[in-house]
Order: sequence, then structure tokens, then C-alpha cells
Amino acid sequence: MTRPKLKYLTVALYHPRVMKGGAQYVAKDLHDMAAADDGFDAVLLAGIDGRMFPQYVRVGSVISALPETENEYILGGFKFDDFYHVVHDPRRNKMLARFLEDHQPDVIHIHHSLWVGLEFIELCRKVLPNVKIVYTLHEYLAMCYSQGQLFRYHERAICHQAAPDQCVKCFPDRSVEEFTLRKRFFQRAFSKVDHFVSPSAYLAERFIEWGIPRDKMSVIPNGHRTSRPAGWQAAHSEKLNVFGYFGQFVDAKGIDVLLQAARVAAEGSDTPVEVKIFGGNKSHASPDYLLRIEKALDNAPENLRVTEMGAYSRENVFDLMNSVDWVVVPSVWPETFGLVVSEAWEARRPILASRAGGLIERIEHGKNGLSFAPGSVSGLAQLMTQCIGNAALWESISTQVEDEISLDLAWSRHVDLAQLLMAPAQARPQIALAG
Amino acid sequence: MNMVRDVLKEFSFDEYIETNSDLAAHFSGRDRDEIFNHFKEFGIIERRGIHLSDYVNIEGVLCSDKGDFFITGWADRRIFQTIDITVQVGYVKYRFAEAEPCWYDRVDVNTVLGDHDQPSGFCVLLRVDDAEAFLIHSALSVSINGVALFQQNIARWLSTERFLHDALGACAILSDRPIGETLGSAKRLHRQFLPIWQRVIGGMKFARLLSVDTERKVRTSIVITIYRKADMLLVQLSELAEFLERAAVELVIVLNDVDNAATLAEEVMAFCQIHPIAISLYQCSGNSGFSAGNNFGASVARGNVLVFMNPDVFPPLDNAEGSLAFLLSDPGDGLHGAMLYYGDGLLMHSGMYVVQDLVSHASTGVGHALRVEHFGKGLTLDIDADKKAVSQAVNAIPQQICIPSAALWKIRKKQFAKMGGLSTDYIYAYYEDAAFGLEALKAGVAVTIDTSARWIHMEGVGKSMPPHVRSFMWLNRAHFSETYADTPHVVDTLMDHSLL
Repeated sequence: MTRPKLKYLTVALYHPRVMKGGAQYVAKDLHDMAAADDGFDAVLLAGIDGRMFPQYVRVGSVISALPETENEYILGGFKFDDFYHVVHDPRRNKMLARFLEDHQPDVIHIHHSLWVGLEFIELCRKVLPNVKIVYTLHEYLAMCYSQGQLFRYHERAICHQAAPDQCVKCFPDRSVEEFTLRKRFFQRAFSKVDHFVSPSAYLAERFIEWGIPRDKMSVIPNGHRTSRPAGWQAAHSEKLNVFGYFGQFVDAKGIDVLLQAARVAAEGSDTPVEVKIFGGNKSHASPDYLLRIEKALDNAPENLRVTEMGAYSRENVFDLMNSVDWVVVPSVWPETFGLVVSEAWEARRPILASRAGGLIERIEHGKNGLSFAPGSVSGLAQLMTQCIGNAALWESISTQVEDEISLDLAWSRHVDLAQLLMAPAQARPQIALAG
Repeated sequence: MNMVRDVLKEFSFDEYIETNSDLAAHFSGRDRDEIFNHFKEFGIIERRGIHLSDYVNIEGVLCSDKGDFFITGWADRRIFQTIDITVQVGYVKYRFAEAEPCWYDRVDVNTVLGDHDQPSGFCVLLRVDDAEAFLIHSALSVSINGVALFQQNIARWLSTERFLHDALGACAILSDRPIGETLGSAKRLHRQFLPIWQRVIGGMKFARLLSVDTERKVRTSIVITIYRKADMLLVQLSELAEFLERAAVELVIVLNDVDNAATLAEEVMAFCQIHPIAISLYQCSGNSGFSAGNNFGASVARGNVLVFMNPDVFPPLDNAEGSLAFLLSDPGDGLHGAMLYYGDGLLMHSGMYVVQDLVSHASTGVGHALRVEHFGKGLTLDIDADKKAVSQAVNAIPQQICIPSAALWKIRKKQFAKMGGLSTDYIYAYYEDAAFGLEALKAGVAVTIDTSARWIHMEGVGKSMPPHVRSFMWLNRAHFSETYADTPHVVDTLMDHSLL
């Protein structure tokens, strides 16, 4: 007997066509997998800031179809409370209710509350009382108002205790009570979610500690879609002295740490040291951060060459990865997953990564990469010195690197989850915290 | 020691006549005794020969379009024993012969004047008799004891509410000083400010912005008066939503001086699309204060029971049944309050009481000021503490002096009306709830703290208060102290030390 198709609504923050970013790629990939799966009817709704992208928002309409797509829609908004993550717009509620009634999803997979609004969860429950709601956590926004990074900019350190009295240290103009209420507000909204998905065990544990019940959390890594040509062979430069950074040019990514370490490594070496920085959004970096980067290069030794290569996309990242020998992930915030790691593994590049957040569980020191303490210039400099010209090390790591789980496998685990949630309660096995 | 033994001999008769031209003709040919007698009787009082503006100064004048004036300045009180103020508006002079300035120490002035015995700074509040007949004009001048000290050709006239706000702000120079030094001034100023405050609230209008589910049969009306910032309202509604959706309860929200009230109404409407609750939203044309706002809310409430709730009060996360039941149960003829806890779950208080403190100042003498204290503040009784532990602590509280906080209390609508509502003699806010509680005790109304009603009061801590707020708190305290000084339900400082 064929099972009826499950109507699967993916709710994302942005669409890669509107603005590129890790979370929207993950959401779009899963939506595409659902669309290609005979067992599913897939719909995508992407919340956007209509003020930034007015071309996607029609006057008087909250929801508009993305041109030349099937079942992909844009949810435009012009106001958003970024503290409590709510919108409270009657017109929007009316149209969203109608959208839900029309599409009648069985499963709603929410990937973000930004520009979607936490009240959307309650609206889903009201319009479709039996719908199953899955929520994938891509960052720490629910527990951290500081860009969801759990990074204390004033201390330049990872936040290990996101308690309200600690939050006011990052936001002195707000009160402990406001942060207490914020947490209650998110927790209340999240209590309406059937199941949470985290791409890493680190992120999952942080949220379990924050208040999400363990039995409502699964770890499913972000699936990887390969673009490696058949028969491709990994290769490196002659001097094995080219280090690459791939990521956003923003504060918590630790480019300053990389440059300072590269400088130390170059000062102690006769070999030229080359650093290539691939990354956009430099305009979002703080002046203080840019100053630190500039300072790191003041009177730098002549054998150090640093080049800003500009932004990259997932269409060309494989080729760009091949233009460097080593990939450095110097993040000082606890990365929730580290998409760049999957991309580097795809190109069989050895990774030098900080032991921060989700990177800890992905990088096995000496096996599929090398690791150092977050923010440690000397630690990274030591590793870079060790790497320069070290073909044996490069070969050893490159050959041990394995791809992240495939997108097919990741999707199959989302299918399992959806079917488990759809099963009658008594027939539903305990959903385990999977690694 | 050289002493002048005979003043008459030494009096400079010629100089007195020559420098006072009005006297020259009158006293021509009169004998010296007559001239000296004139000096003693009139010349001294009229400060003849003194360059008066060196001894008195006006630093600021606020004026309202209803004839209220708030004047600040300084004077050498050895020269100005009395203060006679004349305000001229256009062609009309208003003489305030019995102005009662509030004096305070001005070290900067005293150092120059050399008078270190008495305060030289002053502020004074003046009102014309008939506010409605007062006519504004572009020209404004103020004289003290005949000395023209302040003149504006283009006077700026404040509305009464703005005048009150700014004049209260200017009073912070007094309210920030120890209460022992300023209690007398506060009592006087409260009396002077009160008619202006009453004029302010008398002019307030309330407009209904929103009404949802007015058909619902309600037993309880929860009245929430919000001043200025309504950012917690939707969070509060969200926390109460599940209860409010199914209960015979309506919410009456009164917005005092809230910006973007129309946007808020739209957001509440959006909330009601998801959560069907009965709610009405009223916008006041200004800030009617806590008492008038709540009294208005009570007047439009449909329920027989009124629950007054602050916008920063939330139910506990777990075991909220007892807390929510508080919103539904009938207090009978009594006044019932709730247990209030901090955001971290520790007890904020289990009722309040009033203490009378002896306050004094070396120059102003001794007086009494009342202070509102809280039972249980600082006790490590968690919001989840078992009932027995809470009862033990609460049983120790002398019920005859315990009053609830208006952050969350309930009373039958009839009883509230019978007691005359909250007193609007308290300017804007503070002390009106304690006054209501004491009135209830005086009237024999049963006052109870419901220990099963445990609520979190997310009161902001450590935030500085603007000057006008510090001032009306100070004035209200003075009025509260004056009104209830002799109430038997007030305890003394010694007893306060033994109460927990």
C-alpha cells in the first residue's frame, strides 16, 4: 500500500536567491530533497526583511511567489522585534493563516525565528492543531542576543554561561529582568515545537542545558552535496605554504588571530608564507576588528604575503579550496557546525581549526585536521610552522579526511524524524539523541 | 573697643536726603529727629541706599498658560527678611505678598554673601487666583521686593502638564536632599502643587483604541495601567494567554503617555488573532498617573471583581495554578494581595507595612516621615517553596499592619467604589497603594495576602529616575506622612527592626 504524501513546509530565514548564507542553504537543500522525494509535497516559505529587499515584497501583500519556482514563497516583513523575535502584524497573521489553511502541511520545518517571528509557531498550532513542528537550530539566538554567537565581545571570549545577569554585561542598557523574560518568551514558544534538530552535539547540549528536553532533540549534521569531479586527485603547492581562510569577514571569525599567527610563523621561517582570505561582508566588521587586522600587518616580515580574494560562493568554493594547501578556521565563537569544514573536506584540504563549539567534535587532531585553542595566536602559529613544507603531514591528513554525511543521508534522517512524529503516539519509538 | 554710642549723632542726614530725591523736598527744613525716624520706620524696610540686585537674584522662571509660576533664585536673607513677589504679565500685575519660598543651602552663594547661618537658595511656586481668567501676553517681568530682576519680551508659556513636569524636575534640588532637611518644604510644595495636578488630571481624556470580545461574560476585570513604555505588555499577554483564552476574565489596559499607542493597538489585535482573549485598550491624552488611570480602568470594567496588576507582573513558570486561581476567586468584601517574587524566584515581599521614622536636621528641627517597608524582603523563600514553609513565615506577620502592594491586588468593584477608589491626591504615582491599604485597615476591611498566589514582579533594578519622578515621590511621601502620621496601623522604627 502506498503511503499518502506528506506535505512538508520548510520555513527559512531568507532564500539563497535573496541572500546567501549557511542556514538558508541548509533549508533550501532540504526543501529540494523533499521536492524530489516521491513521498513528499514540498513548500518553501522564506522570511525576509522587506526593507532590505523591497523588490521581493509587493505592496499590500505579505506573501509572494518567488519567480520561476514551484511552491517557493517569500514572506516579506517591514518590522521585527529583534529582542523577542516577534512581528505582531494582523495583516500578516491573516495571510499566514490562509496560507497554512491552503497548503495544509503535515510537517512544518522551521529553520529560524528571525523575520519569521515566534508567534508563527503559535499560529501554526492554532490553524493546524495536529501539525508536527520541527525546528532546526542554526545558531544560539534564542539564548544569546549578541548575534546568537555566545561570544562576549567585551571580553573577547566564548560565553559559557548565558544567564541573564551575564547578558547585561554585553548589553548594559538592558536589565536582568528583560533577559529573564526573553528566555521565558523563547522557551514558551519553543514548548510548542515537537522536535528540535541540531547540526552538532555541542549546539544540542547547549540548548538542552538551556531548557529544551533531551528527548526532543536530535543531532543531524548538515548534509553535504558533492561537487568533486570523478577521478579528481588532491594536490598541493610545492612549498606547502599557502593558507586559506573561507568565511565571513566579521569579528568572531578570528581573521585577526590568523594574521597575527601567520606573522609569527613568517618571522620564524625562511620560506615565504602566503595567506589568502576568501570572504565577504567586510562592511559588517567592527572598526575595532579592522584596526586589529591592520595592526597585525604593520611592519610585517617581507616573506609574509596576505591577499584579500573577495567573496566566494558554493559554486566555486571547490576550485578555490584547491588554490590553498591548508584551510584555517580560526573562529573565536563556538561555531554551531562549520560549513567550511565540509567544503574543505570535499577538497581534501587539511584543516587547522580552533577548538570552538561544533568544530571540537568534527576535527580529530592529527587525523582529519589540526586544532588549537580559540584565539590562541601562539597555538595557531606553532601549527602553521609545523605545516609549512610538511608534505608527510599534509598527505597523512588529506588521505584520512572523509566527506561529511551526504545530503541524501541527512535527508533520510529528516524523513525518519518526520515519519516518527507522524506516527501515532503509542507507536512512536523514543527519539534518541543521535550523533 | 570703639563703639558708636549715639547713632543719631553719627547718622548722615545730608547723604540720606541727597541720595533719596523723593525725601529732599518733603524733609526740607525738618528737624533731624524726624529724618532719622523716617529712616528707622521706612528707610530700613525699603532698603534705601542698598544696591538690591547685588543681594537677590532670579535664576529661572517657568510659567504656565494658566497663571502658574515657578521661580528659583537666591537672596541674602539678612537684607530680605520677607519676600514679596510681583509678576507682571503684559499690562496686569499679580502681587504675591505672602509668597512662601522653600529655602535650601547654596554653598556657592553663601560663600560669596558671607552668610553661613541660613540657606540662601530658594524656589517658590505661585498661582493666580483664577486660572481660567488668566491671560497670557508676550511680556513677562518678575520683581522681588520691588526690584525688577527678570524680564522676557517674548515669554514662553507652558501647558499645565508640561509646567508641572518641568517644575517638579526643578524641585529635584530639594528632593535629592535628606528628608529631615526638606520635609517641611515638601509638605508645603505638595499643597501648592496639588491644585495644579488636579487641573492636569481634570483635563485628561480617555479614548478607546480597541475592544475585543466585549460579549464575553466576565467575572473578573484585570486592570493594567501602563506608563510610557508598553514593551512588556505583549510578553505579559503571551504568558497569560492560555488562561485568558478560557477564563471569564477581561483585560482593561489604560495607556498613560504611551508613544505609538496606535501601533500597540495593532499589535494587540494581531495577538488576539492567535489568542482569543477579551481585552480593551484605552489611551489617555497624557499621563493621568497611577491612581486616575486605575480608577478609570475600574470605571469601565465589566467584572464584579477588579484585579489591579502592574505590567511587569508574571505568573511562575511552573505550578502556576494557585497563582492563576487568584485572578478568578472572589475576595468578598476584603482586599487581597499576592506574594511577589523577583525574577530569580526569590521572595520580593509578602505584603507591606508602614513605619514612622524620626527625621531631623540641625537647622529645621525634628519631624516624622513615613516609610513603606516590605515583609519577607531578603528571605530566601523560593517561589517553589512548599506551602508549609511559606505559611510559617507568613504567620509571623502581624496582620493588623499588613497591606498589599498595588503591583497585584484584587477587590470587589463595589468595595473599591465604596472606598472612593485610589486617592488622586498623590501626584502621578507612589504611596497611593499604601494609602489605600491603610484606609482599608482603618475602615475594618479584611486585608489578606494570599500565599498561594505567587507572582513574579520583574521590577527593573538599579535604573536611575528622572528628576521630576524623584520630586513627586518626595512630595507624595510628605503628603502620605502628613495624612497618616497618627494612624494606629503605622509602626515605629524600633518595631520595624524586629519585623521581618
